Amino acid sequence: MRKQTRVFAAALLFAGSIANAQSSNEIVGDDAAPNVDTPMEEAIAPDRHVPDFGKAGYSATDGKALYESLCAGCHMPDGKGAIGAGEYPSLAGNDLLLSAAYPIYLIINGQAAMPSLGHLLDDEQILAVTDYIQTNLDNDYETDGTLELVADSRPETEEEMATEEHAIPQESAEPSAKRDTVANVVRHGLPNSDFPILQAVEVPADATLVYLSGTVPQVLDDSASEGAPERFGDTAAQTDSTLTSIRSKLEALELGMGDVIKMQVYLVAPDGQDSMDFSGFMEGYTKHFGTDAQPELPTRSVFEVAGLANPDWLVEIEVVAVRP
Amino acid sequence: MTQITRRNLLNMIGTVAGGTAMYHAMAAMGHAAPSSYTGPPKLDGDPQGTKVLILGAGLAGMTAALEMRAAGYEVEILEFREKAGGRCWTLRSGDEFTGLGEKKQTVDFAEGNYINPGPWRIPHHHYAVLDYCRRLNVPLEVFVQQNFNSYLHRSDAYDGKPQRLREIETDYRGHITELLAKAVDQDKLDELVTPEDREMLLESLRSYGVLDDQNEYVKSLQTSEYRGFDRRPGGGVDGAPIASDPMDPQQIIKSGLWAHLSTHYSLQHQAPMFQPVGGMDGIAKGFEREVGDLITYHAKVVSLQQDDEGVTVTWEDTQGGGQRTSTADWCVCTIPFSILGQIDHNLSGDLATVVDTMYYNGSVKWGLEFKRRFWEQDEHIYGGVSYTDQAISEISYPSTGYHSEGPGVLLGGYTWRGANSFKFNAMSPEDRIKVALDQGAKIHPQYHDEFKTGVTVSWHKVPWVLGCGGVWENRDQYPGAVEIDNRVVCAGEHLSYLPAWQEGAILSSLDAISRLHDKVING
Repeated sequence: MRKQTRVFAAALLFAGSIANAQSSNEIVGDDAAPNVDTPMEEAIAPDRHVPDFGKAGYSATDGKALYESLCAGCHMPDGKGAIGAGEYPSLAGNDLLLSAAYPIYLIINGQAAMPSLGHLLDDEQILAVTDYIQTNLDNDYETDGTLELVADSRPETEEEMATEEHAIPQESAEPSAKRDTVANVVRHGLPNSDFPILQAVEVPADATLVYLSGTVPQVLDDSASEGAPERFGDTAAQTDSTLTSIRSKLEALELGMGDVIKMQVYLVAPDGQDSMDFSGFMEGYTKHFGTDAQPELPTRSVFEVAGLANPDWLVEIEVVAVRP
Repeated sequence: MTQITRRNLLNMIGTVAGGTAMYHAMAAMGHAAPSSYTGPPKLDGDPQGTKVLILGAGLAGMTAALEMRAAGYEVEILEFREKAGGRCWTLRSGDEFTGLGEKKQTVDFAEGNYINPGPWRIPHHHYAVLDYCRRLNVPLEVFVQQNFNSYLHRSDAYDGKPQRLREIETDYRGHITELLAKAVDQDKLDELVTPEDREMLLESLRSYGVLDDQNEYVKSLQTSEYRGFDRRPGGGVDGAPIASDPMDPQQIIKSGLWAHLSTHYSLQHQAPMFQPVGGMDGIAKGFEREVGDLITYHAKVVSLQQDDEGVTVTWEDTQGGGQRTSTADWCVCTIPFSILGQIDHNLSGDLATVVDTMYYNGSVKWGLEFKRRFWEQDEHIYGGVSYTDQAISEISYPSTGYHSEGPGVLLGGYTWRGANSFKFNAMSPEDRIKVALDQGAKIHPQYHDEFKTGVTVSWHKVPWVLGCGGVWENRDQYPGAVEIDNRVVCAGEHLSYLPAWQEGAILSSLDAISRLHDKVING
């Protein structure tokens, strides 16, 4: 496996804070401006980069040139996206660009209608274009991408995956005695606070990280019809059932809640409420983290989002665990 | 020839001609099977007025509508655009197209000229498309795919001068068979070829490669009958033909032009191919004649919700304004996943995952109109495709209207996935056309003098699909994605093993509605 330095810039930036602005966990923001009627003369700057057709792939190394000869095709030269039957999301003023980790991952791996572009660009080019979109197109974020982050965001090669399979115990070994003391993972609590999250976590380069997909609540009351609040319960109950699901998924991978080092939480405002039920979420969360039975805490971010895949869901949670 | 199995033959070609030749031989001997179409579906049993809502009036949606209405269903179709057909689409004089963020292009072709921005040719074994053309009275004509007088061009081969396919193809085959014949003749393949078979194999190679009795591919009137003459056979005083010199074998191998030879032999490109007379949208219009009364146009679907009772679809009337709701017992959804993934839906399982993760590939086409058909008048090219290593990839000549006076329209380029599709996508239509003219002029010097007008479509910019076709990275979730999800079944080219082909769209639709019908009738 490739030697890696894992960077959790995103988690650190968000840790302990709650995104106040309505943000979305989907690539499509609500603020994508219609661009269909923009006259082309205005939309395209006169110094627009003309691509080099003489080279296979992309030869430009400059972020602006790469943006204009690749990304601008869909996200538009001004970064404001476009709307048809579907839409291309606006990058201009997009909060998701606060951390480079998000655009870097998407550029490499694609998401929904966005193709993966990792095979067309090398690490330096991806970093250059990420820096560009973080600091241009009406954005003024700090550039926090690194070549290591780009390298880590690339899908593992077959060789790496094969190595990793060997690293994962194939047999159901007895629970490790070291489970509670994950080797070399250093957890930094919040200074002068008992709020149950970490300020930072340090993960050694050779650690195996396990990413769980977003997990959603379980149906609590099968007899309740779709749309009825009893079906999935309130935010506290949905948080509890979601984290219980996550625990099962981790256990299936021979991991536990104590191995979770990073968490992203997406909350929807309950029907009739102006904003998310944060205290309800905390009620569910504290049943699983910082308890006597399970004292470990993760870094964490909480977002309020406009909606999730099922309108009845108020909660979706993603976690990253480190294999002891 | 008992010992020459297919594998042995490939090994032999690989031995004497190198891996590349073997690759192309294998590609030419592709395994793909023809269409599984065996006729219109037999939707027996009375659905008793069950209502089905069809989303999208492309070929998949209209196939479903045609067959399900015939089977007794109440059918409603919602379509985003102002007309039917989806990607089965033709641009003609006076038509307008505005790509996302682009200036409106108004097609200024002469009357009768057209370009198909989407599908443009139909393999002879796409039985479903062909059968619907027959049933819908859509007249067909031959689409010329392989034209031995077309060009192969690479900037770094033969000083950038385009070569006729006839010469490259004949000489490549001649030299390869000569190599193979020599190997056999020198007993180097004894392990593979029995003595009894040896003479038969040599004879076949002499015939196939036009070798002389010394098993050599050389300048002769005989080889010129295949690769062309220095002076063609004629009449009268100078009627006697003059043989031409074959090209140097190493130069051909180095040129890389052989890369374009096998395309014509792949199953999807084997002659004959067809096109609807007057433009591909003849098929769309054929379907529209049958089911147009069921279609609501300008309907932008914003929500697709289902429960155990049925389906509720909310849509915006983009022309009249306002939000409407349509309900039905069942839904056939042919909305491309690039769009459906952005619509509020409650699909589940693998289908939901695929809807939310499938991306659509890029592709760019140009329709360039020139003041005269110089490719016919000056270069004797009637239909077919020239290939180039430049970004435009290929130029295709019209397979219709031969010798007509006045302007003619070429397919001025066709990119498929890859960096060049992205690069062109990021350019304005004007710049895209400029590049296509500059690159095309390397093959046809008449380009700049004869150019009249052009239109270009980059599929990532097409507002109603945001791409050319659905891309499967792997097919792990394909079985789940084609299943009926409670009350909804999805269909289209993206849910077939013939992606981006119209045949795939129709076969997907026929399969989906057959299973849906079975569920309606038999539970």
